[in-house]
Amino acid sequence: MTTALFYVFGATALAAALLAVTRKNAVASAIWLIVMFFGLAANYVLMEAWFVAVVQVLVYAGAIMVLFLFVIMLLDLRTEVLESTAAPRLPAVGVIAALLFLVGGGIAVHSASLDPGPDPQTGEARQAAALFPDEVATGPEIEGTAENIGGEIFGKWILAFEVTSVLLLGAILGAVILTKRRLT
Amino acid sequence: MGDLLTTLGSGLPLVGAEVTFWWVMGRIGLVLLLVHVLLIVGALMVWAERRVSAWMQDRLGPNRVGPEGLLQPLADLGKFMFKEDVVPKHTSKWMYMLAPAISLVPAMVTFAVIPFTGSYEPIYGADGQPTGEYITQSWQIADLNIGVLYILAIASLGVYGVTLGGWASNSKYSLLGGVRASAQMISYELSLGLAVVPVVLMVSSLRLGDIIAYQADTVWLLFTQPVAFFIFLVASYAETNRLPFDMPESETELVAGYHTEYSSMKFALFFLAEYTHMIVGAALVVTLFCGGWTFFGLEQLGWIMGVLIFAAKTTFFLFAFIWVRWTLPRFRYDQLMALGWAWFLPIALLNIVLTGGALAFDQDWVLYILPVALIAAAVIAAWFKYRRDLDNDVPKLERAPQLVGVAGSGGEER
Amino acid sequence: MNIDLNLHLMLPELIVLAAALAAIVTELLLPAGRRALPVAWTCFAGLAVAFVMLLVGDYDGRAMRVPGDAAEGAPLITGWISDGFSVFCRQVIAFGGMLLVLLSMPYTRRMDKGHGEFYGLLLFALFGVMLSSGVSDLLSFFVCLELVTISAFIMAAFKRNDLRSAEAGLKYLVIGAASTALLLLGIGFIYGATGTLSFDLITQQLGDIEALGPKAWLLWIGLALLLSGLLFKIGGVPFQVWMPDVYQGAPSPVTAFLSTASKGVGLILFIRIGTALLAPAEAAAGGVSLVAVLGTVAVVTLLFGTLAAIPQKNIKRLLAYSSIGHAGYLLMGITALVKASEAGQVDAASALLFYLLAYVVTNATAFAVIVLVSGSLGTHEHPAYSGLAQRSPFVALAMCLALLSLAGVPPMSGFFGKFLILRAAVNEGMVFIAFVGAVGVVISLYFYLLWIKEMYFKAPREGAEAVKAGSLKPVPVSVPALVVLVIGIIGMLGMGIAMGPFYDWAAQAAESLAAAP
Repeated sequence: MTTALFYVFGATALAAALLAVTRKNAVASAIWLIVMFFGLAANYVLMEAWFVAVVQVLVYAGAIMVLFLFVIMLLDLRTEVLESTAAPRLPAVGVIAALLFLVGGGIAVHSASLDPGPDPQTGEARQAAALFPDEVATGPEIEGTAENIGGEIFGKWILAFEVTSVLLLGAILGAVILTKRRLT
Repeated sequence: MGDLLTTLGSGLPLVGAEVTFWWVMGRIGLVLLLVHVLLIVGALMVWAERRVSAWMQDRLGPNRVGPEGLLQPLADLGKFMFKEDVVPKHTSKWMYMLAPAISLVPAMVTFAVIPFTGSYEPIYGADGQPTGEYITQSWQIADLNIGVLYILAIASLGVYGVTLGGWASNSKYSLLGGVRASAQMISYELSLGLAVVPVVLMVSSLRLGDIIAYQADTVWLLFTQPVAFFIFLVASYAETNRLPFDMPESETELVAGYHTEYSSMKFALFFLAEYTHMIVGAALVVTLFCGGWTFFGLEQLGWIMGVLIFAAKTTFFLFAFIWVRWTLPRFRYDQLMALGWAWFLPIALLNIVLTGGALAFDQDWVLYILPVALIAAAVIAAWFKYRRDLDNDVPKLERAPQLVGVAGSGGEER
Repeated sequence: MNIDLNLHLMLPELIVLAAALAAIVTELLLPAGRRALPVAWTCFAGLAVAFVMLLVGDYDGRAMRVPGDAAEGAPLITGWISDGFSVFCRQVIAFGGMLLVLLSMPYTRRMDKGHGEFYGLLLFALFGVMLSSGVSDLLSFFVCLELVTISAFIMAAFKRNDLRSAEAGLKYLVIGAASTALLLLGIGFIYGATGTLSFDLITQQLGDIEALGPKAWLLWIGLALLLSGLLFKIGGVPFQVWMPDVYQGAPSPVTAFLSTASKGVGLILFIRIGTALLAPAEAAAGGVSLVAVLGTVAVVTLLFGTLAAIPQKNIKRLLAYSSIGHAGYLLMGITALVKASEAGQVDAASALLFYLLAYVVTNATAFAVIVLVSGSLGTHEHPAYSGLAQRSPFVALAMCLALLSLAGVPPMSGFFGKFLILRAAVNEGMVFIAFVGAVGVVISLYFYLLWIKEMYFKAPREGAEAVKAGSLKPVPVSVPALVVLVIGIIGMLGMGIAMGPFYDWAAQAAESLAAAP
C-alpha cells in the first residue's frame, strides 16, 4: 500500500513539475509547482519524515510560492507578453540536463541489475537494490520527528545552522539596501 | 500503510488502535461528521453575525425564518443555489472555479488535528493498583506529533484561495484584493507562527494533545503567555481577513475585494470559507491557550462534557470575532503592515528569547514576571509613541495611503 | 546531545562577526554624515584583533564536534577543523580584510548612506571566507561558500542607481545562482552515492571504490559538478563569463574584495577539497582522470585570460581578465595537488598558499590605486592613467610594482608565486602545462607593460573625453590609502626579496594539511 502510494505521489510530483515547466501562463506554472511540493511532501510522509513534510508545505507552498504569486500578480504577466518575450530556447542546457538525467537514471537501473559482490569487511554477500522494489524503504533508522531533526541540527550540523543565520541576516541587509527607496 | 494509519490515529480510541475495516469506516464517519458540523456551524455563524450585530446596533436582525430566524441560513442557501452563476469573460476559467474551493478546504483540513474531547485513563502502578495519576487521551481525527506545525502549514495555504480568486477574476478590484491578501497574510503568518513558539517551548511538544494536557496539569497558557496569546489572537483576525483587518475585501474601497466578480454558490463558498476560518481560529486559540476541552476537572465527568466545554469556549471566541468586527474600524494598509512588522514581530521574538532563556537556565520565576514585564513594556512603548504622535505637528492623514507594498515603507518614498 | 563547542578556536571569527554587527549598529546610532569613519574603523579594529589573535594564539583542534562520533577508530565526521592550514588562511584573510577596509575608506567617504550595510556585508563575507578554511563536511562547505557569494551579490549591486553596478549585481546573481544549483546538484549526487556529507567518510568510501559499484559514477558526476561550483568562484573557464562585467560594474572596493577574498575562498576550498576529496578520488579512479579535466581547464583558463586581457582599455576589465589568467595558474597548482603523492601535495599546497598571500597583497595595492584614481578622475579608462607618474609618482610606483608583480617579474612576490606553482607542476611531470604557464607569463608581461608605459611615458592627457578637469593635478591620497600602498609595496618587494620566511610559513601550514587524518 505504501509502495503504491509512493508511486502515485511520485508520479503526481513528476507530472506537476513537467507541467510547471511547460505552462505559458506564469500563474499556472506557480500552481503546478505548488502541486509538486505537495507530491514531495506526501512522499516524505510515506518515509516517516513528518517534520520535513510539514516544513516543506509550510515554507515552500505556504510562504515562498505565495511570494512568487505576489510578484507575478504585481508584474501582471499575461500569456501574450510571455510569448513575445519568451526566452530563447537553450538547446545546450536541455542537452546537458537530458544527459545528466540519462546517466543518473542509467546508473540507477544498472546498479539495480548488478550483483554488488561480497562486503569487503565481513565477506557476506550483499543484496542488490531492486529498481522497482516491492516495499519502499521507510527511510533511515531515525524517524523524522521534530525532536530528532532538532537533535541533528543543533548537534552535528550546528556550524552550518549558525552560519545560515548570518547568511540570512546578510540577505535581509541586502534586501533593505537594494530595495528601499531612500536610506536615512 | 498499516504503520502510517496507526501513527496517524494512535490518539483516537474510538475503535482502537488496530487497523481494521471498521476502524477505517469509523474514521471516515468521523471525518464526515466533523465536516458537517463545520458546515452547519459556519452557516449558523452567518446568522449569529447578523443577530449579534443587530443586537449591538439596537436592531432586530433576521428573525422571521424559523424560531429567532434560526432557519435563515437555509433560506440564504436556497437563494445562493438558485441565483445565476455569472462567470465574467476573460477570466482564467480553471482558477476562477478552483479558488473558492481552495479557500474552503484548508480551513476544514486544519480541524483534523484539533482535539475536541478526550478521556482520562488511570495509570496503574507496578502492583496493579491505580497510582492516582491519570493520563489524558485526546480525540481528534489525526493525532500528529507535529500538530502545531501542521496547523501552521495548512493555515498558510488558505491565502491561495483569496489570491487566486482575485487574480483569476481579471478585475482591478479583485486583483488589488488578492495582492493585499497575500501581503497581509504572509506578514501576519510570521507573528502567528512566532507567537506559538513559546507555547511549544513550555510544553516541549508539538502535539496538540500534549499542549492541552500540560494546561490541564498546570495552568492555562493564557495566563503564563498572555503576550503570545494576544499576538496570536490578533494575527488570527488578520489571517481570517476580518475587521479590523479586512483590507482584501474592504467594501468601501474595493467594492468587495477578491470576491467582487463571484456570484451564486461560488460566492457562498468564499463566504463559508471565511466563517470556517473563524471557527478554526477560535478552536486553535482555545486549544493552545485556554486548555482545550478541559475545564478544571469538569471534563472528567465524561467525554460528552469535553465536547460541551470545547464548544462553549470556541463559541466565546467566535462571539469575540463578531464583537470586534462591529466595534473597531478598519486599519489603514500601512498601519496594518507597521503593526505586523514593527510591533508584533519584534515583541514575539523578544518573547521567544525570554521564554527560551528562562527555560534553558531553569529560571522559572522569569516565566511569572515575563507576562507582566512584557505587557508593561508594550504599554510604555505605546504611550511614548502616542506622545510622539501628539507632538508631531504633521497630521498623519496627509500621507497618501498606499495600496500595495511591503512593510509600509515604500509609498512615501516614491 | 552534548557537543564540544570549543568556541575559543573560533574566537577570531566571532570577533569579526561581532565587529560586523557593531558596524551595523554604529551606523544606526550615529547621525548621518558622521558615520563613515567610525563604522570603518570598527570593522578595521575587529579584523585587526582577529589577525593579532591568530598570530599569537594557539588554535589547534576541532570546534563544534559531537564527542563519541570518533568511537572505535572511526574517523571524525563532524566539527570545524582548526589546523595550521586553516590558521594560515584565516591570517591571510584577516590581513587582506584589513587592507580591504582601508582601501574602501576613500570610496565610502564619498557615499552618503549605507556605510553600516557595506562594511557589515564585507565582514560577513570575510567571516564566511575565514570559516570556510576549516570545513569538514559538504554542508558547512556549501553554507560558507553561499555566505560569501550572497554577500558579494549584494555588494556588487551596491551602487544600485548606477546602471553598470546594477548590471554587475544581476549578472553575478544569475550566473552565480546557476553555479550554485550545479554545486548543490553535485552535493546531492555525492550524498546519493555515499550516503554521507563528511569529507572523511567519503574518502573512506573512495578507498573501497568497488563496493560502490556503478554508484561510483554518481560520485564522479557529483565531484565534477562540485568542481564547477568552485570554478565559478575562482573564475575558471567555462565559468569565467561573469568576471569582466562584474569586475567593471561593481564598486571598486567590491571588485577588490572579489579579486582577493572571494577568489581566496575558492582557492581555500579547492585546497581543502583537493586534499580531502579530489586526491583520494584521483587515486581511486581508474580511467576517469580528474587531473586531465583540471589540467585542460587550467590551460584554457590561462590562455583565455591572458589573451583576452591584451585589448582592454579599462583597468578594472584588465584586472578581471588578469584575474582569470591567475585562476589558470591556481588551477595548475591544484592539478599538481590532486595528482601528487603526499610529499608533492605539501609542495603544491605551500606554493598555492604562498600565491594566495602574494596575490592578496598585490591586488589590494592595485585596487587601492584604482579607488584613488577613480576618486580623483571619476573613470577607470585608459586616459586616466596617462602620465600618472608625472602627477603622482608614488601612486604610479605602487601601481607599477603591482602590475609587475601580477605579471610575475622578479623580484616581485608574484614571480615567486608563479615560479613555485610551475615548479610543483614540473615536479608532477606536467611539463606541457608548465610550459603553457611560462608562455602565459610572457604574454601577460606585454599588456601589463603597455599600462606601465601609459603611466610613465605618456603625457597627462588634458581634455580627454573620459577624464574630468583636473587631470593634471596630483591624485589626492588619504592616510588609509597611503597605509595600504606602503604595506603593499613593502609586502610585494619583501615577499620577493626575502621569500624564505614567508614560504616556510606557508609550507608549515601546508604540512598540517597533509598531517590531517
